[in-house]
Amino acid sequence: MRKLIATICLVFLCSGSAFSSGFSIYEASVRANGVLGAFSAYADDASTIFYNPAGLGGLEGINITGGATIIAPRSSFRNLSPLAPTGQETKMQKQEFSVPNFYGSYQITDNLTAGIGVYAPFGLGTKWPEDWVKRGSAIETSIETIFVTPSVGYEFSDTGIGNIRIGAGLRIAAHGKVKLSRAVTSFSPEGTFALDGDLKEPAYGFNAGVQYQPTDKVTFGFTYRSEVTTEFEGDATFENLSVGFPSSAQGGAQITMPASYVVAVNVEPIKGLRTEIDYVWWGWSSYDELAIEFDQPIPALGGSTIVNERNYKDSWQLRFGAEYTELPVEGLTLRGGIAYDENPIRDRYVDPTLPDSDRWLFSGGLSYQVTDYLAVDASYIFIRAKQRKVTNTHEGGIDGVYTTYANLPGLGFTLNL
Amino acid sequence: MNYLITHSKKLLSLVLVLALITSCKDYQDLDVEPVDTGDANFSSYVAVGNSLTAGFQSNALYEDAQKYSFPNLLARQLQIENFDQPLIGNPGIGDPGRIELINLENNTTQFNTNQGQPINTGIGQPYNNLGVPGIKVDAYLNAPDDNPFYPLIVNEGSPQNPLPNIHAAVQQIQPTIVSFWLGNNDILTYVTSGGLRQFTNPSNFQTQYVSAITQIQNLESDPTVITANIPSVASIPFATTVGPQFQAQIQDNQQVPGLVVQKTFYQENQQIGASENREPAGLIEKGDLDNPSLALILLTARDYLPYIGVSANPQAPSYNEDAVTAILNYWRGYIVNAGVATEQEVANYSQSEIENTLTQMTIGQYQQTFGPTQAPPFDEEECCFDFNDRFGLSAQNPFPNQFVLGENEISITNTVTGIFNSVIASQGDVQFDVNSFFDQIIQDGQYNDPNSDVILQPTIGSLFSLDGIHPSNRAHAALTNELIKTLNSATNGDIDKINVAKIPEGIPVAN
Repeated sequence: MRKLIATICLVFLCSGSAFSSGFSIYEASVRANGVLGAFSAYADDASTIFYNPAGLGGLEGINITGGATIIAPRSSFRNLSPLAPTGQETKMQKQEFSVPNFYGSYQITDNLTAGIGVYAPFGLGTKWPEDWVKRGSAIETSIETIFVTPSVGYEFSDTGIGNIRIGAGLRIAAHGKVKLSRAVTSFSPEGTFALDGDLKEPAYGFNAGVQYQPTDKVTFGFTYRSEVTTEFEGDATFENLSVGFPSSAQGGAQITMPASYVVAVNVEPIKGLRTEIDYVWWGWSSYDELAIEFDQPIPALGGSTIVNERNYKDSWQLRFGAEYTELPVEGLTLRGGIAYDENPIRDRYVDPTLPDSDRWLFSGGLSYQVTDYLAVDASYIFIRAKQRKVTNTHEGGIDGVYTTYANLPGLGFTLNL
Repeated sequence: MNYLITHSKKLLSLVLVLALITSCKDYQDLDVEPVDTGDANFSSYVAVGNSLTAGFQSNALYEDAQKYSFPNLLARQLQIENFDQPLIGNPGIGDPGRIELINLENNTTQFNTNQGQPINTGIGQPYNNLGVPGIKVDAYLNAPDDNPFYPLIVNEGSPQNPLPNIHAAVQQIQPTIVSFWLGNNDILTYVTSGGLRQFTNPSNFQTQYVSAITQIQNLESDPTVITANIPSVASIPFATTVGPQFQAQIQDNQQVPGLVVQKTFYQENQQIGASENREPAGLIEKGDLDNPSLALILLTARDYLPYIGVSANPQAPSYNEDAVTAILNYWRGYIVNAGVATEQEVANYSQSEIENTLTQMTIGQYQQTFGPTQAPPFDEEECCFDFNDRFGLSAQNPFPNQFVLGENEISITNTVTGIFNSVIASQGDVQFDVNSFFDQIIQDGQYNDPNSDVILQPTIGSLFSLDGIHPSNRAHAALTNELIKTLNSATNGDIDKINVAKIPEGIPVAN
């Protein structure tokens, strides 16, 4: 198992970029992508380790599912600040991120199933031109995380009131990287500050969930995921900055990955059609500032810390998805979804490191059972973020209009043994 | 069951349609609210002025500072799409170069003598920012002969084709709004030379100023003309920084009663208070060094203050070879600048030859000004220059006049500035009172940006760039806000102000 995790970590190194509100990534399974993550009550494969560990309780035999979602975000910014002509447009540089996932489960007894999941629940990747108007706030920013989650689920059947499943897992932030660079415009000539950090040590949290199935056609689900406080550490470089800066330094930052919970209900109104609605709450208010601490005082900063105020607020998402299996082609399952995602960033604190906005998500997906054991899964998500005009921004922000959309194709497989 | 399928399809379609409608507004058009300029048309703007208009900072004209010149910032707030400035690549053009910080802890600086190159030449029309560093009011209608910036800024497509005057450039653009901020150098050269160079004769100033404004007002485009006045000398750190520092340094030294400063002046300035100047040197008492109406020690004095008390007599306890060399070299330059001897000649002058030449120059100057019998330049006991006396502490070895404005010179400066400002106040459509704006900051001890929590101190590196004369990036933003306030009240407009915190400080550093 140790070797397996190591191998997967290598694959995961290329992951990044957020595509839910804040810098969370809810695209943790290609099958779930098809229903836009409205999956916490249904959860019929091992990716339930992420969506609701209680779902493990119903999983039979050995289930393995894995895949990758490509995230291709596109943002542009039109300036309303005095730093550049009004309306001047800057396009964020095109980047594509691969966010893989892998889950496996094993049924130990009739009612008890254990599993492990490896996925990237938080990430972010933005890159603006080096000479763009707000280079002083952000040129390149990225956060990558990989979580490993060993979990167990148990099913209480024959309770008299329907099936009840419970489950829990240990969320281990096993790998992480942060990278940020920005211009230092306080001086002429301008310089560049960059920090390239790795997760200092594994960080821990947990998740727990319950599913209640009063009848075959209705399932209720609830999942809670705790905060995980991560610490990053690495090299800080100060390019073209010789007055007031050391030639090199070590820098570190603490980032709290927020808690979240999900309330879900899944209904099968007609045979073969399963519909689900999930309400997801995010405790983003834990992210109030990003403080970078250096190992030495830096004269140009007048201290050894840079603090960027974030002041996020808690946010929510409403996810609706449907899956249909009664199709003329045997072995084919179709999925679709729609979701609304409220962003956690207050207008005043929007900045180009993460040009977030409330957004609508639309998805389609399918699975095809190639053999009795193997299914191929595919999904496509399109995200349209509301055009966001921000004025009266704080010092690190810039007044203007952000426009963002994203395409997220995904491909995966599911094995049932 | 079919009923349910039909309805769930309808419901799903409805949700999809609603979502698409709300999310698919046209994202490519940006509806910028038009700027409210009230009764006036501010669609085409030209800025006429000197270094303050050009965005000159830290003794150079360079791109990183020009970007934040108040005319460029105002043009942005007016949403003018093409406001062209004659950009010069960093570290810019300056004599001898841009001042740059080399150490943040003790704020030491040095000149970067590398010179930048023009960036956007050949734009096919005159620039909108016609601020030319160093010019006086007369340059609006008569091109200056020896200004290195003029051909770079006032031309028709290339520095090889300078226009005959600034008005010719303004005429080509036919602006609807002109900011006219000239006059500072008409008095500032007097100030920065410690009273050695002349200020513009006030009646000439009036003639030149009025005819410039009249020409602008007669343009076919009938522009709104903003006239900006001259800040008082006591509001620039160039004149106010060093005196209090020096005072603090000598406070407890009983040996140093103050500073004995050479007095010389030009004949033309004689009528304003010349009688007090009938002695070759005078003592500025220690207690007066921080009083901007009694004494202003200029920033240029800084290098020589450590030599106070030094004697050129190798036997004297205060002998210091480096200091003596620096002091003798200063006076060599002084003799060359006065045209009394050439550089080659003075290079070989001995100490006593320098002393004799200076003595003769002083006697000659006094006799020429007051007549042979009116004012003996030295009394008999303390005859002549003598560098064996203590530097800056005796009339025989005085601190050079070039580095100090004495009480009399300060009063001349204030009087002349007042005369110039009354001329400026009578001209143009909108009067921008920069003088009061800076005086208020000096009085309050700071400037608080109402649009952010930025506070600027009237010191070098905060409100002022490293030369102590020219405003910093953020001061330009503050100045722009003040101008917007003036414009809004004059034209009943509502032009947005700038959040000063968003303007980078851009302090020049030596890398």
